[in-house]
Amino acid sequence: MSIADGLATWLADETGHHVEIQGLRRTSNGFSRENWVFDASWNGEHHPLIARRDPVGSVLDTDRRIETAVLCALAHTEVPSPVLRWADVDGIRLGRPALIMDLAPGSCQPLVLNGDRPIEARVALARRIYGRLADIHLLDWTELGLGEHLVDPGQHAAGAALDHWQGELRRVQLDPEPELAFVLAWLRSNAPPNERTTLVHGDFKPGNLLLGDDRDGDGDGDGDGDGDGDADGGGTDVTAVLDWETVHLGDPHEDLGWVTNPLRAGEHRIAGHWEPADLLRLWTARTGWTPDLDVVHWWQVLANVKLSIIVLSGTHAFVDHRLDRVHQSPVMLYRILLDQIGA
Amino acid sequence: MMRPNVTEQLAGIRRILADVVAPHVADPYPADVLAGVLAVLDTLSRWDEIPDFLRWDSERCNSILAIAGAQTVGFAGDPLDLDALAEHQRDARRALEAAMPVVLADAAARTAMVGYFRERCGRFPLASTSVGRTARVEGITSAHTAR
Repeated sequence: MSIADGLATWLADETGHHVEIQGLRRTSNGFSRENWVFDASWNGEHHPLIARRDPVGSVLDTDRRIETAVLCALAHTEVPSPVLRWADVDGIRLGRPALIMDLAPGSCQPLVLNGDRPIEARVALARRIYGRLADIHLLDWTELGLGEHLVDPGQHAAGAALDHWQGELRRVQLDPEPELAFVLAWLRSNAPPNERTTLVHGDFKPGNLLLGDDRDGDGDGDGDGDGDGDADGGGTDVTAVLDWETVHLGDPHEDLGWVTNPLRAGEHRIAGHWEPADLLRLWTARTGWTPDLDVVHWWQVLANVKLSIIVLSGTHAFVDHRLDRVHQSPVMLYRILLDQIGA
Repeated sequence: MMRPNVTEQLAGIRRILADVVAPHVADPYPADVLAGVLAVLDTLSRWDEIPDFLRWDSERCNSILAIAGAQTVGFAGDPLDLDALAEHQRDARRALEAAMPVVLADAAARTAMVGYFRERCGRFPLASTSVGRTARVEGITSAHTAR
């Protein structure tokens, strides 16, 4: 059965109507999931939808049940997130686990902070983007019922993350990686205690957001055409935070380390205008919590260990003919990691 | 002798894909995948350094193991057999990984190991020069970040 036929049957069962699928296409976005965009029509109405299906091979293996529970919970919060229509966590409908969501308005612009908008507009946008990260950390996950689905690692969040990623390394590595063994030993001996459990997105970045369109075309979206982005009218904003597949409970410093990772500066920083210190100040102002810079650094190191293991996972999947992209050895990440731990 | 040689064939395949095939690949997903393939073909130009690299890699691991007083890994295979060289290199790296607590406890061995790790990054013959790279070929662009 083709994916179009599978979608039509699935939606017909869900809606109780005959369903037409049109314009089905796989987008190039995303290395960890297949994204299929399409229009579905039933009962005289058109619905732009996106199906996200687990691929045969991926750089990340995650649990759709957790993602589904979190998306359902987020629907009751002010954090903009995709509207989940249907979930097939067992992979009965399309051969592999899949979620169907409304196609949210807005566009994905991974390098938007260093794009061609005026600097004031980009800084204003950065404040909105990372304000959303603080909003995620401020969610009351117990009130949202997420304690039933997610494990609270308590003060051992760093150790739990290390255990998880060491397990992933053992699962995916094809060759010995003594560089990672060395860095993991450093991380283990310097693991910080966690003082506050929050929801952690796990892969927060502009490329995992949808942004609304500017209304006046000057890039800041404030409607006055001067490009200063300072307005009261809202402006370009985050219409959806995407890719919740790595969401978990843990230390909010984990997300802070991820978004201030020097390797990802091109995505998260605006040189001289939006530096990690600005981001952390905004986060503190929004949450009322003061980040520990040593702890942020520890999570920055783990961020690059994670990226290394994700690359190795891609290598494994490629060698098994389960992935259409070649992932080579992450040796360049190893050099960065050595610098980060002062070796 | 053996013309076109491997280097020439890799370069030729890359040119054909970029000049002949890529302009006619319009769908986003295959275009993105093709851009990735072309970027990887660029990195294969140093393929002929692999045997020397494997020998160097094994020797450096063994030298660190020796400094730490750990068991080294011998080689009794054919020095022209690439598979045997690769197996020896894997065994030597595995021995270094396993000996990590011993190496970390020995300052000289630890220093030697960090020096080896850093030098290896520069010598590694099968990797792109950057982690977050962008390949642009005939109008198709693909940002190949780790995720």
